[in-house]
Order: sequence, then structure tokens, then C-alpha cells
Amino acid sequence: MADVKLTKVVKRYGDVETIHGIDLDIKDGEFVVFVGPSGCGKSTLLRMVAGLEDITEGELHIDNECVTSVAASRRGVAMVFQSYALYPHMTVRENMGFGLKMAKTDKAEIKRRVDESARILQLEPLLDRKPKALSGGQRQRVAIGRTIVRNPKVFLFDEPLSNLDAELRVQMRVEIAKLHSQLKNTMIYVTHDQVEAMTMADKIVVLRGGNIEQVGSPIELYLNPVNEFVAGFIGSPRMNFFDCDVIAQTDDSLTLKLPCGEVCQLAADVSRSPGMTRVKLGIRPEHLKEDQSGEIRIGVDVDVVEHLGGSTYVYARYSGEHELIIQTGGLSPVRRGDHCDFSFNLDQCHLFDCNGLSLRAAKPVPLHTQAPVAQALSG
Amino acid sequence: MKRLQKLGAYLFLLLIGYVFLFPLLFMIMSSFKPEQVIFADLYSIRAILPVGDLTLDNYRQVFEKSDVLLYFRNSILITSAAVVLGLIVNSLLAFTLSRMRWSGRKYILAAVVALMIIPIEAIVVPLLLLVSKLPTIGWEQGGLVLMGSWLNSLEVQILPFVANSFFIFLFYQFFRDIPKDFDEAAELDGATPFQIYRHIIVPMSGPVFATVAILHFLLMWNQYIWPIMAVQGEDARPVMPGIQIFFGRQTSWGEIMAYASFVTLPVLAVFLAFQKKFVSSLAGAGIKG
Repeated sequence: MADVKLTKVVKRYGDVETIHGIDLDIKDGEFVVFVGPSGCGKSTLLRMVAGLEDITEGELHIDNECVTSVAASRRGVAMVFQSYALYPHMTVRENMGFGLKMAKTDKAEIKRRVDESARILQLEPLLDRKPKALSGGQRQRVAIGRTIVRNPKVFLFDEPLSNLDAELRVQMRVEIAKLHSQLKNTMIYVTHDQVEAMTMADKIVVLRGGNIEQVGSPIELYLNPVNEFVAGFIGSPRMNFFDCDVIAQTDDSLTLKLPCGEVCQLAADVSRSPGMTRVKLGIRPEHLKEDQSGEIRIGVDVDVVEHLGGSTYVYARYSGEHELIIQTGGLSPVRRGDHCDFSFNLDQCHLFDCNGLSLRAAKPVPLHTQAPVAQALSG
Repeated sequence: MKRLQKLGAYLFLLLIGYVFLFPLLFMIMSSFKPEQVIFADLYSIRAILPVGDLTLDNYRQVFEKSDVLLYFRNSILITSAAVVLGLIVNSLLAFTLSRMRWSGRKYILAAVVALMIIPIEAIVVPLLLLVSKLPTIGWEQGGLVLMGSWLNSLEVQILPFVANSFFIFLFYQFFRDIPKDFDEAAELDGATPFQIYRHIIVPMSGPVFATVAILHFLLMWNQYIWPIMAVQGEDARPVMPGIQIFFGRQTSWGEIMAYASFVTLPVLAVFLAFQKKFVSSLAGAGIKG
């Protein structure tokens, strides 16, 4: 078992507090992704788990053992760095076996474990090469191999795919997911790329300004963001937001006037925010339709059209000032400079109060989406 | 026009090269010539060419008239001990300054930088007073005893010159540019700070070690003022003060040139052997040569 439990974890640099009392439970075997914008504290939090940064306040438990003040090497964690951090003067074999050598492991045992890890990652032909003779993807695999050799309780990944090109990144994403399904260890992965988070995670932790904004499965976060920040961060392209006037409200509904002047009524839990005059309505780009089958129709002026083959991104202006993105399936006939109508359904809208908190009731998360990617791959 | 410019540039470089090489070539060639030939060739190109009656007599005379082999051995011992110890001590301090966090680190670094501007001539007298009072630890009648002072010994020429602020700074500059991820990866691999230094940082720092080794070698090999002050007898005298003693006796210019050539050979050999790494390191460390 290798649960990871953070209890009221705080990080301060002098007087500056960067992590503000984080509580988090990570279950054994989970693939957890810390995601958030630059400076949100995700890497700091990972480094605190690794033992590379001191924990100013709070406690960290790994495998039910308090390791708050335990040295990094004794926490049973291994980390893959963004820069790979492969020792340039050592061969792949020496790189992978370095940790075991430091632990004074028997040479035959080091060889056996390095060979085993190399087999898992298909690194056997590269074992006698130096890092400079490897490609980016191969280096990344060696960096992962170095962690596997140590057989850690928890794997930590600090933006490991950032230095790879787009194609290799997708490939390595799948490889890491496969590895997780094979090893079944607890893995914590840091990224600023929400696509990586959505595709790999069993559980996503969204961070902002040293606080956790929301924890949940990727689809849970996509369907039921608790606030405007999470709604905007999860999903690509990002959600469109419009300011709307509140015309009337009951305990469970709001009547809104959209920027185009149209009036609509939405179910909403307004008990926390009585007397609202303005709210934000959010609609994802993929929920805006080219046809007029949606309940609400809006007219937009098209600025830019991006044809991606399988889908089209339309960048447009709504009511003259509100910028929005529309994602349509296939090749859209819409052209730059066109004025055209799109529509959407109210049940796919999100509502946020003036503090950015969601006003909509949570939608049920389909059961099959709760299965982790890694488990799905192994199945 | 361009060809003329190129020709002019090469001529200029040749002239500069000649200015720097002339003394060296003159010294080496003269060491193989009798006194009268040296003076006969003095105002011609023959002065730097191996022509005329070449002989090894000057070298023979040097070995007969002086203890140059003893001085040479002393210099080798002093220089190699100081260089080896210096590489260890200076790089270790630079490692702690550049890669470890401890209180007072910034003040020590500031002190190291400040010490770089103090010339040895400024501290040589207080240093002499200090070492003259420092006893050596010896073994007598089955026990450790404190004996005499450090003066007239090899260690008085080694220990004060092991730590060097300029070399510490060179190491510091180089180490600082090595990404911290390596240390952290090694730390997670269970390496202690010393193991990180030994297994990760040192193997990655070949150029700076070569540079410091050469510079320290030159510094130690060319020591003159300090040995003259701290060493009176023959036993611990190195080669450079030896030249002064040799010059003071009745000797010919050919013999002096032979002595000078003999003691210059190790310097040339070391520099030529490490020249490539030396130059690349100076460029890499961002220090103008």
C-alpha cells in the first residue's frame, strides 16, 4: 500500500506563503495529476512530496508513515524531472543503476534490476550509450527507467513531456499510462497542459495560487466545475463566458437576459447567493452548434477560422464585444467575415455567481468515464 | 584588396608571435651554444636557430655546479602536493558555496571574492611571522612532539598556497552553471552531498579542473618571493630561487640559459598537454583569457 496523505501542508519562503494549507488524499495505485497555471504551486507541492523542499507546516504521510521530516531518499519516492537529469558522463546502464549503487546493492542484483527495467521500457539496445547519443524520447524513457529500477512506492513526474515535440508527447503519454497499468504504483504527475491531465489522470487536482480549487476525475471536472476558474481551465478550447443580467430569481431558478437581449430561464441553486443582479454564463465551444436545433440562438461575426481536419475552430464576436470560440465537427463552411447563427442548449450551460462559484446542480458522471485510462488500456 | 588585408593581418600576427616566441627560442637555442657563439649570433636570426657548434656542455656544467636536481625534485613535490590538495579543497568549498544551502554562505562568498584582490606581496610578511611561530608535529622517543617552526621546510611552501580565492571562484562559476536537477536526482537516488560532489559534479567538471590545475601549477612552479623568505637552506629550496643562487655564482650565459630551459620544460609540457581544455574552460566559464 502506498497512499499519500497531505494534511494542512503549508510552504513559506521567508514571509511569502506559496502553499496555503493543502489537504489531499491520494489512494494506493492512483494516477493523480496536479494541474494549474504557472506559479500555482503544483511543482512546489510535488517537490515537497519528494522531499526536495521542506514542509513549513502540516504533515505528509506516505504509506501511512509520517515522512514530513524524512530525507528524500528514504521516502520511497522516485522522480522524473522535466530536464530528464540524466548524468551525462554515465551510460544508460550506469544512470539507471546509480540509485542502487548508492544503496550499496549487490552488483548482480543491480544488473538484474536494470535489465528488467530496460526490458519493460525497451531500452536494452541503448544500455551502453551515453545520454548525448539518445533522442529526446529515449532520454525520457531512460529517466523513467531510472525510477523504475528503484522500485519506489510513489512515482513523481515533474512536467516530463514538456521538452518533447507534439507527436512524441502523445506517444510518451500513452507509454506512461501503459506503465501505470503495468506497475500499478501510485503516481503523481505535474503538468500545466490540461490535455495531458484529462487523458492520463484517474484524479485531477486543479491548483491556483497555492490552493486546491477542485479535485475529481477528469470528466467530473469537465461536467461539474465548482468555479469559473476550473471551468475555464479544464477543456480545450476553453469555455466561453458571458455576463448576463438577472431579471428574476427563485430558490431553484434564474431568469437571465443574455447580451443579445434574449431572455431565458435556467435551473440554479441560488440559496448561497441571494439577490444577485449579474451572473456569468459559461458554454463550452463544442456545445455551440452550427445548426439551429439548440434552445438559444446567437448571431456572431466570424474573425478567424481554423480548419483542423477533424474539427474546425471558429473565433468570433458575439453582440459586437464578447469574444467566443466555437468548435464544430468536420470541416465547417463558415468563413472569415461571415455573420452567422449558432445555437446551444441551456442544460449544457454553466452558471457562476459574482464570486465565480458554480450555481448549477452537479450533473451525473457516466460510470464508464470513471475508469482510469491506464486500467482501460490494460483491459 | 582583401588579399592585401589578409597578408597584412598575417604579417602582424607573425610579428606579435615573434615578439612572444623570441625570448623562449633564444633561451633554448643559447643553452646549446658556447658563450662566444651566443654573442656572435646575438644580432642575427641565428640567435634563435639551432645552428653552429651545438653542445650539451652548458647542461653538464649546470648539473655539476648546482643542486638543480634537488631543487627540481623539491619543486615537483611542492607543486604537485599544492595542486592536488588545492583541487580538492578549492573545489569542495566552491561546491558548498554554489550547490548547498547554509547560513552565512553569502558572506563567505563575499569574502572569497574580496580576497581575490589582495596580492600575495601584501600578506607575505604577516604570513612569514605566522609560519615562523607554527610548530611542526614530529615523532621522537616513541611519542608525538612539537618541533621547531615551519620555516625551511617543504610544507611551508605548500600549505599556505593550497586554498586560493581565485580558483575557488573559478570552480564556483563553473559549478553554478550545472543544473540543480542533477543534484536533486542524485539526492533522490540516496547520494550524500559528498557523493554528489564525487560522482556527479567532479566528473562533469573536467575543463575547470584542468584549468585550475594548470594555473595552480604555474603559480606554484614560479614561486619566488615566498621561498626566498621562508627557506634558507638548500634542502627545501625550489628551482626558481635556485636560479638566483646559480646566477650569483661565476657562470656563463649559456649555463644560465641551460638552467632556465631546464626549469621551463615542465611548464611548457603541462601547458601544451592541457592547452585545449584550458582554453575551452576559460571560454566556458565566461572569463576572458
